[in-house]
Formats: sequence, structure tokens, C-alpha cells
Amino acid sequence: MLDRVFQQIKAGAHIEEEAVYEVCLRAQELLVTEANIGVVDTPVIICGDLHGQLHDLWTLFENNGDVSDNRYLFLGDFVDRGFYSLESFLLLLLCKLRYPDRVTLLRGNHESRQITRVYGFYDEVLRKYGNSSVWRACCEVFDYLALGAVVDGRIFCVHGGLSPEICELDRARAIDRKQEVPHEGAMCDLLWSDPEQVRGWAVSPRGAGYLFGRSQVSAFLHTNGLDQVARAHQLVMEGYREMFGGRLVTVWSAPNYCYRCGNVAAVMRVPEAGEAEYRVFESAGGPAGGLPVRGGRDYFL
Amino acid sequence: MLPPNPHSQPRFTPVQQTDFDALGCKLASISHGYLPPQIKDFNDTNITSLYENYNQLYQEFHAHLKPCLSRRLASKLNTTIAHSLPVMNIGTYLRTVSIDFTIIQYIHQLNNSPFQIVNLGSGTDLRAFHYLPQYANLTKFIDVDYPISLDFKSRAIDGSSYLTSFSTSRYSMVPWDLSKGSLIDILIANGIDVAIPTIFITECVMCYLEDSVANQLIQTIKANFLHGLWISYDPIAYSENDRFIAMMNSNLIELRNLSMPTLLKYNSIDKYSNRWVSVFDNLIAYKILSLWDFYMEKLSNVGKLRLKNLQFLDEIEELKLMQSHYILLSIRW
Ligand SMILES: C[S@@+](CC[C@H](N)C(=O)[O-])C[C@H]1O[C@@H](n2cnc3c(N)ncnc32)[C@H](O)[C@@H]1O
Repeated sequence: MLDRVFQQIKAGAHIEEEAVYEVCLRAQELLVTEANIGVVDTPVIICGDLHGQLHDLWTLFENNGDVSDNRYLFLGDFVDRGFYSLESFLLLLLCKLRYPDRVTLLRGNHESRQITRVYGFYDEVLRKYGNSSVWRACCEVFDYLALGAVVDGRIFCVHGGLSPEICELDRARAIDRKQEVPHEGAMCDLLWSDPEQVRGWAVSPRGAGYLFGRSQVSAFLHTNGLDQVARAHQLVMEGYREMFGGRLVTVWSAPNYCYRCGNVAAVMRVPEAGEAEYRVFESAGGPAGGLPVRGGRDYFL
Repeated sequence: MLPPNPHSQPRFTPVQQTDFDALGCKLASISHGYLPPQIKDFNDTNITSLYENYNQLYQEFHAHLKPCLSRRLASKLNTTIAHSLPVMNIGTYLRTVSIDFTIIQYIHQLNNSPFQIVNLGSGTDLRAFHYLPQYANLTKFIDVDYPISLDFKSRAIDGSSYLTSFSTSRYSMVPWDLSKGSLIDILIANGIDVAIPTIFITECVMCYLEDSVANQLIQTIKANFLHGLWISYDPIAYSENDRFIAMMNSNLIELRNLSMPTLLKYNSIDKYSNRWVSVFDNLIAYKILSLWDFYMEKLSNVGKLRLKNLQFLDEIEELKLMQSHYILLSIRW
């Protein structure tokens, strides 16, 4: 069954509702056994926001190697904005089910009921199925996604960033994560916060999470005996950006975001020993027949 | 012979169709509560009096537009209104209020002396109907656009007694192709006095004009009007190979066969403003800023928060990227 869904995604074919439920159910059973903060070995390929750009996800796999012989960590925001949120998310779940130890999926702020209703995933499902049950099933899976991971005991991986409520990582390990992303608090901050040149914790212009500066990063890394924070969440035109003397990096893996922004994307390849390497890639565009004409790619005209 | 199709629509060119996008965005911003602006949105300047009848104007207009729309256009408009994302709604808000903000500051300096407004490429914009009741010293407000565009607009207005009540003798529609000569003659024939301070608005219009047409327009207005203010809102590139603009050009060509002929030529804010500055030797002041700058500088924190909370604004970077690529120029002479 999993193979068939994989082939359908690859062929751009419709996936039956029943198959989606089956994948979601199995994924849920697997994810529930995972810790809030996973432990991941090197070498690993760390990937940022994907946002339903399925064809760019295929490019990412092509450039960096098959899941069968590589380890991948995805920092969340699999859905919304792009035209293929459902297929992208299912593809990742299939990879996870097939190679549970090779694939880590973290929750992004878009893996949420409220956000997907505004930003496209909900509408996409409605368009493709005529009802929202498939969307609901996927949202159930969102609630089980891990919140963070530590790579090689050195690199803290999270979608957004730090939280004033989390000095010690154990505090994050104790969160009851199986819920919709709350509007405030530690879990919300992990998925929403952004690094910025600020002193102390500052109000985030996004309206959720915090802005945190160099000293918060230093303190957090020091307290937890870590070297670096790797996160996604913010569009960077160059695909990745290091801050605070390299102690934090933003990785963005959706090239030409929303088929409109003109940015390149990157993944971060962390080897067993030695320096991490960033591999930049450009957009594949859409399917052979072109992207849907309707929706998206809006401008002020 | 086939009977006439009740839904047949006169053919709008790709450029003329952009007016439906502008309108759709505006209606979406209104329906999500971004527009009209609120007093608390700004720190020091109050522009809310301009928007007293804003919702009703656009609701009436939208209602009376429906019979004039083809089914395809009507459904496109509804989709835009229902699914418009926060980045688009905030952008539309910024575009609208930044223009009014600049106009109001100019009007205040006039100390109740007479002035006129000419909205070039007005499309369906209803600014005339919020300015005319507000300012008794606004002696004339003229909308200029292609005949087909203004015909469409006037059909919707004529269907509503509420809207026609705003269409006084101080208001005129001038069906005109801006790429044709003698704009001045037709403005004068419609009651414009070149000796009175006149505000020209080109809101997302210059970008569609050929270089020579745009330059001719600037020269004509400079040569004929003694005093005035020109406000121009447009997308802008920051280099010859600006990636955002390059993508925009290729998307617009692919999706709707729409081109913006001068976008890559005037690829900096200096080059853009110099099209006016080099012509107006009697310049009093000019200012050019990106809509992102406007957002950062002019909006209060409370206002920013209000806009963010209307829907869930999730990406500041995208907002910044897009709004940095739109500018507002004001030239006073
Ligand atoms: C993007 S719309 C903007 C409408 C309005 N200014 C607004 O912002 O809501 C561009 C308008 O410019 C008009 N336009 C473009 N070229 C023109 C020309 N050569 N003569 C007259 N109108 C023109 C189009 O018909 C269209 O209504």
C-alpha cells in the first residue's frame, strides 16, 4: 500500500482518501513513540521549510541522495502556500514509515489547524477531495510530530527558535506536545521565535513567539553543552544564513518560495567529522504541464 | 445567428484587466477588516475622516458591479476576496493609506484654497467619492482611464442611487488613452483649470506605459500645470537582475501575458524618481520611499499589531521582500 501511494505521488495521480487515512494512522502510531526532542546521529542532511513545493522536494532528494542510504532531518513547515502540501507531507510520512531511523520530522508553525486554514493546505484538500476529512486526518498527525532534535549531541534543531521558558532542554522534553500549537508558552515559542540583533527577549513582529539575541543563544548553548542552533522558519534569499558568529544558522529549503520570491534554497549537510556544508539549489518549477494557473503568485497590479 | 450571450463581456486587454485585481484586493482588504484604517494605526496623522463612507461605497459598488460581470470575472473576484492572504491584504492596505496619507499632508498645506485631483488610470478606484464630500475646496476630481474601463465603472455607479449621489458636477470621468496626445485639452474641456494646484495620482499605472509614453506624460503635465503634487505607486527593481522582479516579470507574462516595459530600465529608486526630477525644474520637494519603509516608519505599533492579528500574519520576511519592491514617489512643484 505504501508503495502504491509513493508511485501515485511520483506520478502526480490522485490518492484515494482511504489510503491517506491509512498512512496517517500508521504515522501517528510511529510518531507517538518518539520523544519531544529526538536524538539524531551524523551524517545527516538538515532541511528547512518546504511549503508544499513537491517538485522542489524531489530535487532536494535527487541532489542529496535517496532516503534509503542517507539520514534526513526536516525542520517543519511541510505544508501551506505551495500547491502540493498534501503530497509533500505524505511523501515525508512514507519516508518516515519506511526508514524510521533515517528520517526525523519536526513540527513547524504551519503544522497547525489554525494556520493551515488561512495559508492554503485546508483549501487544497477541499479542492482535491470536496471535503475536509483528509485535512483533519493530517492535522491529527501534526499533533504527534516532535518539537526538536539534537544532532550528534552538538546541534539543537528546531523550527523557530528559543523560548524564555526553556533554559534547560529537559524543560522542552517535559512538554505535553500532543495538542494544537498553543498561542503562547514554551511549545509556541519553539515553533515561532526568530533570532535578531536584540538584547534580551523582545516582542516578535509576528505576534507569536519571541525575538532572541546572541546572548540568549550563548546562554542556551552553554547551559545545555551544545555548539549550535539550526533552525528554519525565515525566508533567506541565499538559502541559508549564519548569525552570531555561526552559533545559529537558518536553513531554508523552498526555492523561489510561493513560486514568486526568486530566492534560492539550501540544505545543511552535517558530516560525521568536520565542518557542515551548505548545498544550494534552485527551483524545479512545477510539474511538466506547468503550475496551476489559479491561485497563488499574486502581485499588486 | 446565435442569440447574444447574456454573459458576453467586452474584451479587456491584459493591462485593463489589472483593474479587477486592484479592485479584488481592495474588496478583500475591506472584508477582512484591514481597510478602512483606524485612528490608532498611525502615531501622528489622522486620515480616518476620509474613510467615513468607505465600506458602504465599496459594498454598493460591488453589489451593482455584479450584473456587469461575466461569470468568470465574478467568480475570480469572489475567490480573491475569500482567499486573499495576509501579505496581500496588508500590502493593499499600505498602498491605499500611503497615497491618502501623502495627499492629506499636501491638502493641509493649501489652507482651504481651491485644488483639483486627476486620477490617471483610475480604473474602478472610488477615491473621488471619499474626497469630494470631505473638501469643499476640491473644485474638480477627474478619473481618466480607457473608455472600456470607465464605461464599466459608470455602469455600476449608475445602477446605484447611493453612488450617483456622489457624482456631482465636480466629478468627471474622462475616457482617454494615455498614450494618445493632447490630454491637457480634454482635461480643460472637462473643467480643469491649469492655474489651480492639482494632484495627479498614478497608482500602479506608470509601470504599464511604454517608456516614451510615460516620459511624454510627465513632460506634458510639467509644461501645463503651475503647481501640483504627483503621487506615483509602482513596483520597483533594485538591479538589472533583481530576482524578485525577474520572477514577477516571467510569472506575469506566463499567467496573463502582461508586461511592465520600464521596470528593469529604472532599476533603482534614484532612476525611478529621476524621471520626474529631471523634468520638473521648478521642484519644491520630492520624496520616494518603499512601502516597507512606510510600514516601518509611519504605522504605530498598535496599528501593526492590529493588522497582524486580523488573520495570522506568519511571515515578516515575505512581507518585507514584497513591500520593498513597491515604492511611493511624491513630487511637489
Ligand atoms: C492596476 S490598474 C490600477 C487602477 C487604479 N489606479 C488603482 O490602483 O486601483 C491600472 C489601470 O491603468 C489603466 N491604464 C493603463 N494604461 C493606460 C492608458 N494607456 N490609458 C488609460 N488608462 C490606462 C488600466 O486601464 C487600469 O485601469
